[in-house]
Amino acid sequence: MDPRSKLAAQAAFALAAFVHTTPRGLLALTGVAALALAAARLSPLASLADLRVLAPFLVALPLLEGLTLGPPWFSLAAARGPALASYRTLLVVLVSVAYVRSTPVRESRAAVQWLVPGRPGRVLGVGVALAFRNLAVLRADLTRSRRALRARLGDRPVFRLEPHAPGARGDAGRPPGARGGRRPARVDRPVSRRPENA
Amino acid sequence: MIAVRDLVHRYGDRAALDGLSLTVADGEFVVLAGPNGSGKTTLVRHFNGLLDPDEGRVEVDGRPVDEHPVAARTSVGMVFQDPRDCFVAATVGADVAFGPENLGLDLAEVDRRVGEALAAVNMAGRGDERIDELSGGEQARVAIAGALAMEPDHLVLDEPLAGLDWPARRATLDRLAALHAGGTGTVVVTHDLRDVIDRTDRLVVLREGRVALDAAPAEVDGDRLAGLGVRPPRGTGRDAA
Amino acid sequence: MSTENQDVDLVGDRTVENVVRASLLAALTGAFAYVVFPHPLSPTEVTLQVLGVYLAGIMLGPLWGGVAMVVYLAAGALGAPVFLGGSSGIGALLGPTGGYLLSYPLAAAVVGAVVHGGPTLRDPAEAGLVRLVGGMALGTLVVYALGAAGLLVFGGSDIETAVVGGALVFLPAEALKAAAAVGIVRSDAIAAR
Repeated sequence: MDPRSKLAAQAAFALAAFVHTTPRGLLALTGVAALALAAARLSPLASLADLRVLAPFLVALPLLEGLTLGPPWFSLAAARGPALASYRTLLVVLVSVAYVRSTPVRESRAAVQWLVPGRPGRVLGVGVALAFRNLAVLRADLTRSRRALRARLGDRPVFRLEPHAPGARGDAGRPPGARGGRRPARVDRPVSRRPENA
Repeated sequence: MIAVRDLVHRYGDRAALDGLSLTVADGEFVVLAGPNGSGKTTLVRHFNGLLDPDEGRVEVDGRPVDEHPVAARTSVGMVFQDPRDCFVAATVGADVAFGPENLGLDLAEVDRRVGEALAAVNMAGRGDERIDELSGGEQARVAIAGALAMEPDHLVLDEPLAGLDWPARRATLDRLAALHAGGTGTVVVTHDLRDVIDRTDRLVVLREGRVALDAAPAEVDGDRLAGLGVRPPRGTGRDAA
Repeated sequence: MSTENQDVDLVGDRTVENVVRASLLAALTGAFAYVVFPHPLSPTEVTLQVLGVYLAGIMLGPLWGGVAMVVYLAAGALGAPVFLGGSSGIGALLGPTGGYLLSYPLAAAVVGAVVHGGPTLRDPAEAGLVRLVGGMALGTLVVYALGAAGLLVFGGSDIETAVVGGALVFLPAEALKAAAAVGIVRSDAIAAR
């Protein structure tokens, strides 16, 4: 399916979901969402994983709105609106997951340039492509930095009591003699080591 | 001592390490060779708990690495293949000081270690320079100093010679030999045995996630190495240079 | 550096440079979505995304800062894992937290407009502390006003829940991020590049 039609279908689905946020409307749209998932060859369970970050909101909002100060403590009528909204979000997310999983990035870029004509569209298309690339670079760099930190215990430093004097970083590179040749007593190390022969 | 037993590490469905066992004694100089994808890098990252085993055990000085990460990372210093992957600070001195600072040492002791580590890699007095302004060879030396400042029992270097010209290769190997003579156990990971093989008593070759060869270089002939996917150095054995 | 060569196609070159910067800030904002702290008073977590919004406005100004955030939203809608917890897709924009996300372009533009005092860019390190903090305060207001509106419209919550649960409990964390942005802008690390 053409990515432009898929984007349009997605928008139409979202619009329909907002217009028909009723039990009957959402039931019908559930069928449409199931079709979209099937077309993208996604199992509903696998796509639910994408909902995990939204799940606290989707569950908490109806509960929060349903609570009342006093008996009967929970009002189904008040919880109804947010519950329908939560279910609507669930459907829209499932459909968008179907789109994301079934559409390569470069097709999306072409769709953006079609959707937004002229120079703004070109800028947005190139920007989006570069953002994907930069994100991959940034995430890889984060992984490497994290590894470098862990290798030298940056993830679990032992906090010293004596704070560093200002400018100590600059001094750190000097040969030991440069600070007057003080040889401090060796500080206890967290590990037993070979006899001091180094 | 580093002891690896029946280690399995999977990336998805592929087992990068497939039931590997290996022991490295204190003070040993080990060359760890093998073709690309044989599991060398994955193996050494288990030495100090940068990776978690899927199966098997890794111990440093008898302590499981996953339960004693501080002990493991203090005992096993790691230098990654790309020196830029080792740095956590902008200037030479601040970066080399990073490890000792995390050990909670006092300032004077941190300074002493930084000074000694930089001197050991011939970078003494250059602590204030910016790392991104150094040459590739100098960056490689600073990366080694960063590991040395932890005063490790074992220094593990992943492809320390990759991308170095011949004089720099010789200089790096001379420096590692001097450190080894001073008591630091050394593990050099490489896919290219030239210049390296005549410096070691123990050659370990990995293939498909297992130890395929563990012997003194003098006992290994070139055909055997070629069969394991490792380019034989000119001639083989300790006389080849 | 040869200025002559750069002047040949001034408009084109400038645009290219701005697009590259905008995409970098967009990716940075996406990477900040992975930096999460639990929040004691909310079912969600605090991320550093808003720091990306501040920095986009401060570094790129109102126009390109806003563009950077449009690029961020578009990349996320098209599948880049840049929203909370590495999620993506249009669904995230139309769910209960969609209001926050949709506010980012406007918020970045507001921050940029205040910090730079108009459409022409100045060195952000030169901007006074009042402008920096004021810009970010106003930007934060935009994020949470639209965020609360999103809870109202997309989440079906009522107005008190939206304002208290969707905005007020997060403000202390925003103050910390604004402080971080001031530190970043005024540090030498930025000036060096």
